[in-house]
Amino acid sequence: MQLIDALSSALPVIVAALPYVCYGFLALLFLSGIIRMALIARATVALKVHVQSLRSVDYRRFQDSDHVMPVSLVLPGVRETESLKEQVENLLQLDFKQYEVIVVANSANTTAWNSLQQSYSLIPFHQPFKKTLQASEVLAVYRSAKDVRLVVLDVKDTNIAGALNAGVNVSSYPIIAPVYPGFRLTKDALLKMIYAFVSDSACVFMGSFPRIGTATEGEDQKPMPMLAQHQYLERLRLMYTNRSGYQTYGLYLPLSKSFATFLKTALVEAGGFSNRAKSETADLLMRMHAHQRKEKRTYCARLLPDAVCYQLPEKTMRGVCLRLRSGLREMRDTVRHNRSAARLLGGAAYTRLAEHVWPVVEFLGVIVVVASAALSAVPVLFAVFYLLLGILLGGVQSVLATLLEEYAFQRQTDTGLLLGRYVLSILAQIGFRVRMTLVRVFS
Amino acid sequence: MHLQMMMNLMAGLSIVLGALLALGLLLLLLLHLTRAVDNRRVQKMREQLLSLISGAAQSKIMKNHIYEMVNPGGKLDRLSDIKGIRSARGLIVMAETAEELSGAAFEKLQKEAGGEWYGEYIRKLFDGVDEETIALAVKLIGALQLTNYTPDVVTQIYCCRTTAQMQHVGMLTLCMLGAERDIVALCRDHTIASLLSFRTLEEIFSVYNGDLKRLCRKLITSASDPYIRRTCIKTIGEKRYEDLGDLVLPHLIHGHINTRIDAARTLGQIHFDMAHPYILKNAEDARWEMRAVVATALGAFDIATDEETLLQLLCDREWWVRYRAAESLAQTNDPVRMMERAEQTGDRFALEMMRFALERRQLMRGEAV
Repeated sequence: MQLIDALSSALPVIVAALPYVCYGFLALLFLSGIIRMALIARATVALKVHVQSLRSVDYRRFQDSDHVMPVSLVLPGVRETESLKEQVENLLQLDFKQYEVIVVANSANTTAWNSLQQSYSLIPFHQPFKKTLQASEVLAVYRSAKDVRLVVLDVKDTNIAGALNAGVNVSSYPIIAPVYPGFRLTKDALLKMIYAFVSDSACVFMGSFPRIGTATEGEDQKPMPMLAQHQYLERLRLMYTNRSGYQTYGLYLPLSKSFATFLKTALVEAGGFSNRAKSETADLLMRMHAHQRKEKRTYCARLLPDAVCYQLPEKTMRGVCLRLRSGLREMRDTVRHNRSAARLLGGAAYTRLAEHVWPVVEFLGVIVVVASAALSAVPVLFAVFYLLLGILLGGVQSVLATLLEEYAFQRQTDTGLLLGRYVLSILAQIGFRVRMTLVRVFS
Repeated sequence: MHLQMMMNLMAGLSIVLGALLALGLLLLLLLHLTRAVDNRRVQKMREQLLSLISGAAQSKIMKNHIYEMVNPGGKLDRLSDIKGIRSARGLIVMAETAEELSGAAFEKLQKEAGGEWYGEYIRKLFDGVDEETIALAVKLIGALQLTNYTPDVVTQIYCCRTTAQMQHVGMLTLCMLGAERDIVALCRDHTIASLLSFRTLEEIFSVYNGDLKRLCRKLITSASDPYIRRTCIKTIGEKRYEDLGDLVLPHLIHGHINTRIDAARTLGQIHFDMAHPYILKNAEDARWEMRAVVATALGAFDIATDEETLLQLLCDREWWVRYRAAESLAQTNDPVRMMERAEQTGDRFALEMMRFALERRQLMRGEAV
């Protein structure tokens, strides 16, 4: 009773203060809009320089070169219950002179195992290897009679880090590239990634920003379902507005399970993949940063902005939310386990701001402005304009990100598809993006 | 008062943003609706609009124009007829197209790019400060073999001596032009530190358009940068320049450990008999990297002569040395006897490695294991 009395006596004061709070949120809305636009502009300049520098040295010369560094692709498929055939097929079709594909699988998952056995005629092979890293126990090594580049390890464990370490132990080449199930690489993916190592001897890591897609370039591009298109557009918006979050690391922490390449010596020095981490790649990268800095070495870890890898889209909204939540959880876990490195690099703070703080501010802003209008603290038109501005600013950012991707990386412009994406970028602001913001707020 | 101002600001901004989005939508709609219109002028306008939103479309249009210019009977005759060719994108497209052309078409493009009109643009770029665009111009000079610009390329390397990209593109261009005298002079100059990685240097040398053997002979003893000397050593091995073995041997005897490793590998590749005792001596080197290379190099000589040393290396404590020794021993014509010899060592790891190497060899030959 007392509380109600106190509230009713404080209400006039709250109502009187609400317009100023609304102005504050409006200022924040403008500020976030300006910052994001500036980041897109910065990303545009950086992309231009990147594309020009790749063109001037013509990295494609390395396609048939003997001087390119060979790569070991490691696919940790120990938890996969579905067929791995399509994914392995994709990995064996890359345009790259010398590489091997090491699939770490569990023969107990019969569908996955049989898909490999039948498609690639696996032969048990007596292969001694150096146990450099602590890894899952390898029960048997198989090689393919159809493709000598394929090596399959049978492990009992379902630990991803252990599987990756087993792959590293068996690998023969100086660059290690973990590829998670559910990803597809473009044909020139390795060439573009490895060029960074060849041109810069200080390079220890190269990350990528996975796009969302069902097929890689060159294959029949079937139109993606609406939900997949939404995921694709959201991914582009993240990439072009959050550059500060990944340029210091070489990896966008909430999307750490993507295609990346490590210099093997640096990977081994940092202790390999850890099974206590929720995101093996991000955790290892943080430890690598810490180790290189501790040793006072000149090194670099970068992110390749090109569309070299595609993540298969989630088929349901629930799946999309789960993926986003698990990405954020993995980021928190990685930062918690590597606090000192995260503090030194700074990118994690920005990512946290972009992934947690801004969504909360946006959400609170909408609640406060709508409540203020309901309490007649501000005119209803103010609330309408506030919401409209939020939608338009978000729409412009998404549209710019889509057009930038089209300008820089698409080799063939399909105007129908682009038109659809343009419209969807705007419509997403009142549907898909609201849902994503809510997931971010309540994750 | 404040509120009214705020509202006006919000309304104004909403109108501006809305109008921008609507304009973009209209543009895309126009592009989409005109895709099937069978009218040359409309298609030309469509192409121009498309090039605003797609870099690839812009490049494609330019490339088509270049092809029209170089092919006999085309509607265009000169580079100056191609709109926007004097730009960074124009430089990129010309360099890429040059790689696809040959014969008279290549010569036509070469003549046009080396002509007065385009030369004026290139010279203007060289007088400027935009290193990214200068690098593209330098690359074009290499791709089109515009030898009259060789001194300009050298000048740019000197001007941008702290930029790795310019050094890369500059050296690449000089190699494409086969400018031996300039390359040797640059590599001997102590004031220019090489910023390029070892593999980049290897790749640059591999496109050298001249007498590579003579270049290696000149640089192996005189290059100021050890990476360049190592590149020469590796090139001698890869290209099998047997008669340059005597220039490599001193590097095995006196060089830095990495140079010695490369020298051992090269001398094995070219079967330089005089080096055999020195290579053998390194089988006991403290560095495992050297022992591993020695294991491979000995495989290039007569295995029967070095069988004991290779078996000793097969029992090495380091995995990679065992692996390389097994690879060399697996070249034998008598795998059964070799397995027996490996068994006689009493070393389980050596035996495992020998079996693996023999089975792998079988697999590579396409035989079932």
